[in-house]
Amino acid sequence: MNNDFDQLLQNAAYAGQLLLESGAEIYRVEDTICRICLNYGAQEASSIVLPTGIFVTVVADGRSVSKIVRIKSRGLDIDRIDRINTLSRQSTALPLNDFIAQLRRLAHRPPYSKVSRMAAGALGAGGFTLFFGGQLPDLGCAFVIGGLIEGCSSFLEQHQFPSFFAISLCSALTALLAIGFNQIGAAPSLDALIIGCLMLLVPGLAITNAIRDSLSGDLISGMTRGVEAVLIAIAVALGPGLVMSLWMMLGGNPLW
Amino acid sequence: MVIKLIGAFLAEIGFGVLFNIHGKKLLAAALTGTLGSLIYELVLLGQAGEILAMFLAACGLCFVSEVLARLMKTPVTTFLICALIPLVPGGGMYYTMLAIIQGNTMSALEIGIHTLGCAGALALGIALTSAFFSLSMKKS
Repeated sequence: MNNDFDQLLQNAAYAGQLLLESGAEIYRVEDTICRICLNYGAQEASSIVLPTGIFVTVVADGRSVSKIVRIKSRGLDIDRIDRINTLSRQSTALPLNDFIAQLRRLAHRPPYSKVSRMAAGALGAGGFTLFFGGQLPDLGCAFVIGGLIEGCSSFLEQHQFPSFFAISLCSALTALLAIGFNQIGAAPSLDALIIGCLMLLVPGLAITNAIRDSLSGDLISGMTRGVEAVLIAIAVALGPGLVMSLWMMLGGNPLW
Repeated sequence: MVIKLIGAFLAEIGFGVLFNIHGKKLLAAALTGTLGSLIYELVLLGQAGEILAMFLAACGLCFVSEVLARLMKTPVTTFLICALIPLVPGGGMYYTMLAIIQGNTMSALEIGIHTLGCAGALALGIALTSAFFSLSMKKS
């Protein structure tokens, strides 16, 4: 019996880890962990989740067992959140072994391929360039820059480059390319092009989660994510700022 | 405005793929985001301020996201994160930065505070709408 509970605790914490790493809200991670533990026969389960770690304690057979998981990577994978959420709600009707097998399978589900992600980046940048008032020639440039930026940021993420610098680097690259296209006459509306491409880097996830976490009373996480959103916004503005002031300093053609 | 909305829709599809949303949900998320931009543009047409437009658009898209999430049995964030993106004041951030490097402190402050106001209105709209939703869920 003890062995079973060890296994349950491991896997409940693992499900929580997957959720948190995919960008789920704090209350969802806590609820999911407790729901899984209670569904498989624990008498009591409580969990504390922070953006950087998970603490779980399960009481079963009059003994309590705990586990701490340190969370290091944080991304966004909505499909995985959705599937783990559904799986944990079905877990009343599922034997523990099946549950574990399905959880492992979910963890190794591949996301969209690299090429389609780059195409999506291109589409995102292009769409937003139109949205901010760009014209057709700008659209072509935005496709190129968007694809490159997406490839560049996923490359930096893979090599665990510090994320704020990675964002600054990508946004600087955006500005550099956009100025280049503008100077050779391929992109008439520079502002729309730069803003459209920078939208790929804005902190949408951090803002949403900061709001939702603060609302559900997870104040520490709400504050952390709010600060994260501000830092990302600064990092996004820093890159083009640097490139454009260097451009002016080195005596390039005026940009505005 | 039609071109703007088409742009927003295309961009939403791109972002949905980057956030790993699949199938029907991808389409629903993109349409929710487009609806948010539509409300924003319509309110702006009615001579209202940008901050009010942002607030109303956030309320609208959050409402639709909450309803869709219940219909399609999926977490609200599926639609919310994706739909929020077009409203994030990226333009404001950029123009603030531009004013700073031009050494134009007064207009940097002006644009910066306006941008913060927009972000605040966005957050408030979402917070308010989801708070009302959790209230009505607990009653029923």
